[in-house]
Amino acid sequence: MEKIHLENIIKSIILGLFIGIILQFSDNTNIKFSYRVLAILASGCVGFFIGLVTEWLTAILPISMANARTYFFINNLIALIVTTVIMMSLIIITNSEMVKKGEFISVLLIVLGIICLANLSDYMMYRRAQNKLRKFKAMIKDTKY
Amino acid sequence: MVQLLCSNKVYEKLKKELSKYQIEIKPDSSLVLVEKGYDIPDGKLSVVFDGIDYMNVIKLLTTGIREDLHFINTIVGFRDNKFEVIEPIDVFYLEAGPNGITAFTEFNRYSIKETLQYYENVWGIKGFIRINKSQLVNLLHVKEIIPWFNSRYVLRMENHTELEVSKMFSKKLRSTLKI
Repeated sequence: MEKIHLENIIKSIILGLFIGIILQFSDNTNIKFSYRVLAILASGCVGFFIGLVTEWLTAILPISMANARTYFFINNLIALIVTTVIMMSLIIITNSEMVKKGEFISVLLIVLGIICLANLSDYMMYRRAQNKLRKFKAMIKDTKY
Repeated sequence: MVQLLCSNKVYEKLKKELSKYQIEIKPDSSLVLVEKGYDIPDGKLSVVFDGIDYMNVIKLLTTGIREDLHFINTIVGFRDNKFEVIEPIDVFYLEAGPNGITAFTEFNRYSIKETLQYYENVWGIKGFIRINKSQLVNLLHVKEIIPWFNSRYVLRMENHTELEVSKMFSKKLRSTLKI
């Protein structure tokens, strides 16, 4: 548990809330505003669970297997699996009226799309880190040695 | 020489660190290091600090404000029963172990004196950064920063050594590189 990083779970909650908001915009049915807010909060809760499970699972992974490819592969795989499982469970548990396959798939695609974007931005951060390292090395070499 | 106005606990720590740099403690010195909460003496130049930041006071005294003026270009390392002169630029990383500090270059390892904290202070401006409790790495020889889960990183060095940046020190790495 000590390896679990709260900041990452908070990020996951924010992502969940963001997905909830996007889904509300894409939903054209006429429902009460309070229900929409509840749906967004529920989405945030899902984000929290995904974050918690992901952090817990990844805390087990040994750092000896660390390399960029493995990191991004595992990151995406966990996000996709956990999201799919949670969405499926929610639909089954709540006995949702969203019975039409098409509706479910469109929602799933939006969710997965956002998660993929989040992972893409993670990759951009990785590239940025390498660039910053290069710049730092050049600066140190020029001025301090 | 400096005068100290602080608690006994901080006094002992400062005394130990100052002695490393041959800085004497004298009650009549015109420069006074005053721990927060103690009275600032009149007519003397005082540096007020928080007890927890005592190492920063040492850093200020030893490197000054213009850190680039202070440089220690070489150290002496011990290997295979002989002493060798090593330049900081050749050091990939330093590791604290039960037998003291070891400096790792591309192909060799040397036993060296002082502490990790000392090298962190003195070589910080040369790109050395603490990455966990027992290792100080030269960022100049880092080939790749590999992100890992739970806010950790792995640094792949130019000689393919891999070093772990712990969760606690990953913040420092991020702020140093501004990522």
